[in-house]
Amino acid sequence: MLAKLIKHDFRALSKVLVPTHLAILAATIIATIGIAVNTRNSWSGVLENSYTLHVLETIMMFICVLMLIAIFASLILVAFIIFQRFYKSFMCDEGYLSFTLPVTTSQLLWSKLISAAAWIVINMLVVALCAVIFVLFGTSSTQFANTEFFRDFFGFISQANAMLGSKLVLPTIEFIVMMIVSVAYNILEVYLCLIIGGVLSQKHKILAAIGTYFGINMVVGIICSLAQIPMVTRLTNNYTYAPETPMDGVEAFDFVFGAINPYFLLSIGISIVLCIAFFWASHYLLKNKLNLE
Amino acid sequence: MSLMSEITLEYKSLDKYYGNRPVLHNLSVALPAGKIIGLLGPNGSGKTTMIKLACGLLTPTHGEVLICGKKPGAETKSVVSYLPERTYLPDWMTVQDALNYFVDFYQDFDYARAVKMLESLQVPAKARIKTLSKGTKEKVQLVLVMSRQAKLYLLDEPIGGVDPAARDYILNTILTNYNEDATVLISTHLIADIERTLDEFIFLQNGQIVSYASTDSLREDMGKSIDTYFREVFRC
Repeated sequence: MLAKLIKHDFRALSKVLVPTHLAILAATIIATIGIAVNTRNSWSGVLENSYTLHVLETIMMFICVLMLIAIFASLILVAFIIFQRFYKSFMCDEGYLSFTLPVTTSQLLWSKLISAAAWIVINMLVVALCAVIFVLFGTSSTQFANTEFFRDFFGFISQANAMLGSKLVLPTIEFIVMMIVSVAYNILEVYLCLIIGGVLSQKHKILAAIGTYFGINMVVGIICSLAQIPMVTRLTNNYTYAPETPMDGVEAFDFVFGAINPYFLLSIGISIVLCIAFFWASHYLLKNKLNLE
Repeated sequence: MSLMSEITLEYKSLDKYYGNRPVLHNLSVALPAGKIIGLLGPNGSGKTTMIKLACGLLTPTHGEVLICGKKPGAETKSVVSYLPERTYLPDWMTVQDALNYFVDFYQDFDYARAVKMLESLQVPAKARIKTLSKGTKEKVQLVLVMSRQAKLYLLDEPIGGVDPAARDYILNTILTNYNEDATVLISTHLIADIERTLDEFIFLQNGQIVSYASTDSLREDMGKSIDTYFREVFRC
């Protein structure tokens, strides 16, 4: 049943998000072409004596800026669409359909979490693809494609790998875990706020949800600061003085990673605990307190 | 089938409060299988709350509600077919999407029957829910709900929004489509329209059951129709 729920939730989101992402890609390509044309024009000096071309260049530039703004705005739109879907299917009339399906409340929540997380990952990949397109084709004035940046980037990776090798495994794993946990954390936090908003108020659900969001963030902020006090003390005691002998790359890596890692692990731990708490609270409220209008 | 047969829906000394406001008070009733039962009462008497409790949309403050002996959950929801008074289909869906949705989630859904009913009500399968009139949306939902072979049908104001011609069709649909062993609980104000379909009726007032009897006994013993009786009991 969970698979069927995910299928339908994913499909419902795709109805709006597929066109949105196609638009993001299209905007990127247009902006890239515009900037590529502009850089080539100014580089070759064609424009200096031509008023028409100059006007054209200004218009091009203007369109490119608009496109870039549109791309960033679309990221907010994606989050909005995901949370609006959740709100509609749980807190509005569609709730009568969702909550009478022969599934458990936790299956409903898992489905909403997994489908939203999948779309956020897709969104990240599309934005990364846009960045690659832009850097490759929009930043070179002499060649068709600018591969220099990527050569440097992969050069850096292979250098780091040669120097540190297996030392990089743990940080990479931790980083990936951190990403997954923080995506889940952010989704679950907003879900919980929307649910609390719906339970607290019949008329001003969204307003109550926004208020709850600020409230939860404040409490979480306080908890995190308190939890970090012992760690900060330890950090200041152990790392006040940098070692006097100059360090090589490996030593520097150990020094920095050793200082940061406890922070990293602590914040992953806190996030996981909060994710469980958000999920549990959402489940409890949906099952026991929600009264659809 | 006798009245003492299997119990489909049972409320056991149930209280329901919204905050401090009592909506249902010490409600106890057991509804047998194989009957069409009218849930009748003035506005705000707790009809919808009673139905929502049986769907698992609300939890009782005290007491319990049982469907075929089980508390509401995924298992009971697979045998309960519920028609809310709201239009609950996502508006981006087409009628066909909604059919596929029900096929996916409800094993007891009879796809062929649903298609046939939609055709006779002249609802176009390709139309988006968004573009349908309120009455047509209600027809689609009723078709979806009545195309299931459920054990318990909970119909909250099923005929309120449709024209009298469609009303007759829908009542016939309910009569001819429901499973012989199933219980149908219909809440409505339109008693006169629905009277002839009912085997039994419940009068609900201020969250308590005033009367629960069979339609025949009312007619035979008191020589009254439910409609007349209702007007007497709930005289303003």
